[in-house]
Amino acid sequence: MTSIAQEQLGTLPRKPSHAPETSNADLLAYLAPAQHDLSAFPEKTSRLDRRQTSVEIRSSVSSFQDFVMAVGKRSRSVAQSAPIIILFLLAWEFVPRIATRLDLFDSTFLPPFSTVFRAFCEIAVDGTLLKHLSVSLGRAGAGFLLANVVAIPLGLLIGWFPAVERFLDPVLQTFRQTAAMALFPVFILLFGIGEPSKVVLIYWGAQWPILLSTITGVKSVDPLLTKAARSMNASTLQIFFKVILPAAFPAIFTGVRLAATHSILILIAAEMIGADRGLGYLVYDSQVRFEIPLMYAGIISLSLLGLVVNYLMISIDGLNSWKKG
Amino acid sequence: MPNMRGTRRLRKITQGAPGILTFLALWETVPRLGFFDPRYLPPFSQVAKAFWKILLNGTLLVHIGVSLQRSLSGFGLALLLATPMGLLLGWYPRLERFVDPLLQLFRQTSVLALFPVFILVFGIGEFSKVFLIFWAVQWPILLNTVSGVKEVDPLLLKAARSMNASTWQLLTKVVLPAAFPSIFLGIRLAATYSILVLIAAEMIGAKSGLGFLLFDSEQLFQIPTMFASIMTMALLGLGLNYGLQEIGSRINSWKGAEISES
Repeated sequence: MTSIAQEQLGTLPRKPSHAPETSNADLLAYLAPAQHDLSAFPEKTSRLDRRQTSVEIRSSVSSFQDFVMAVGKRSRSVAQSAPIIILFLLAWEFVPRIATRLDLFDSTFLPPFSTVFRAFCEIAVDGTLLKHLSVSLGRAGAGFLLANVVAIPLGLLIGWFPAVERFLDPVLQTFRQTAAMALFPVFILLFGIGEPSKVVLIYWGAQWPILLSTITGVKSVDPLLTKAARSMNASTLQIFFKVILPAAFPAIFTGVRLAATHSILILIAAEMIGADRGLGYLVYDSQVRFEIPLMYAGIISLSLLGLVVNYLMISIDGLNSWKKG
Repeated sequence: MPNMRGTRRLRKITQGAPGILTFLALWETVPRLGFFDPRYLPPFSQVAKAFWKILLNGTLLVHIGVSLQRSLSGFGLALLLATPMGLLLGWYPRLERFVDPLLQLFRQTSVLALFPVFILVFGIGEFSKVFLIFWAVQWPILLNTVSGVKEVDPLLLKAARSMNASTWQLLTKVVLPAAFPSIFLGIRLAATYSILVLIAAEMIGAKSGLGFLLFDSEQLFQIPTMFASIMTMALLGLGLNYGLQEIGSRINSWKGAEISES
């Protein structure tokens, strides 16, 4: 099964040989998480293969069939995932009870699922959850959007001019290796303890995957395509918008997906270190105040948020299907 | 061969130098122009001085040692547990299909959200941090191992089986080497990830380590020291990444040689 990461690997040798090879390997490492997600949705990878191997023109009928098949697969995967999740919840319900009875550990530290679920329903009903969730979403969304708006055009530009890329690459690598969290104190100093410092932190963390995969995407566009367009007298602008941008899109989108996952991680850390609202704060605060069921309820809502974001990204990626027609 | 590698490395360094030098020059001059308060963004020379100071009096080494110890223990634990687990899951696809939803759920649960849980369960000492890193690092290793094992060329397996190899031989002689590049990719990803998590954990609750040094110097308003610790983290991250890259290419080149010999 070919994954995006490997596809990148496959296209790499085509690139000009003078390009520094560090960044390729790095990017590969960066792109790799997409691998697991794609392997969960095999229809996507086969679509990529098809696009690469042939330029067949497909009718809207067959894409509708694809759509139906994809929906069928998805519902099947839901049915497949039910048993283990139910098993997990049952274990969560009964292991703490049994362990407490046997004096193995105190169930105050790991309350049974029903207790946690009750706490979750409570905060969902009285609006606490919604308040924290909206604050968190606002921060993550703003930072993530900012990263997209800044990093995609910048990446396109840098990838378009190899000399600029070669010049900037070491600096970009250094910045990328600097964990975003390390810069949080700096952002607090520069932007105060309010919202901007958190938004900037998320922007900062989210922009690197987008920037680097956009650069690689532009660099690994098949030179044949640009040459063909140029021989047909396309202007630079046309080549850029009609050839480079569509060809680089899959790579760009991989970066965007990575950035989305990354921004949630950073959001939580930032809210735990310095915030008075948000889901990360909810988890941290309820731990400090020893409201353990509430803490687990916060964790559950965070993982649901992560799942939803991931699912959204996969569905948006599915919109790519227009490209193959 | 080593000579070629040497010149390539030299060329890479000379290529990288202008970008880095420009960046440092900007860092030196921009704060002096007065766009920002220079107390908040000190010029590079002051940061370098602070770096040199904490390096000489040993503070830096103590914190680096603590951080490295935490992250290496978590890493070792993850390697010991996640690699065999990944081999198992990759080898039995039905088991993998059964467990996969749970793995996805756990992977989507941000590690840092679980830090309070680990503190509750393991106390505020070293072990909660080590476990946090273990937890964060195991997912990339586990998932990459699974996909590596699943993508082993079936031809290799059939060839080995037709030569009457036992399952154990198959696993150790065919599957593990064939899946190694993918596993190593997971390890590299995990390394980058572990630094981020470590720093966050040390900022949230620790009394030593680089994250603590950073947070503490911010609280004490020792801004040059703060920047010096950020610089240390960046260098550490770069070094780790570079080191793993070297190891990876060395192991891979050895593999290539063996294949071409036989």
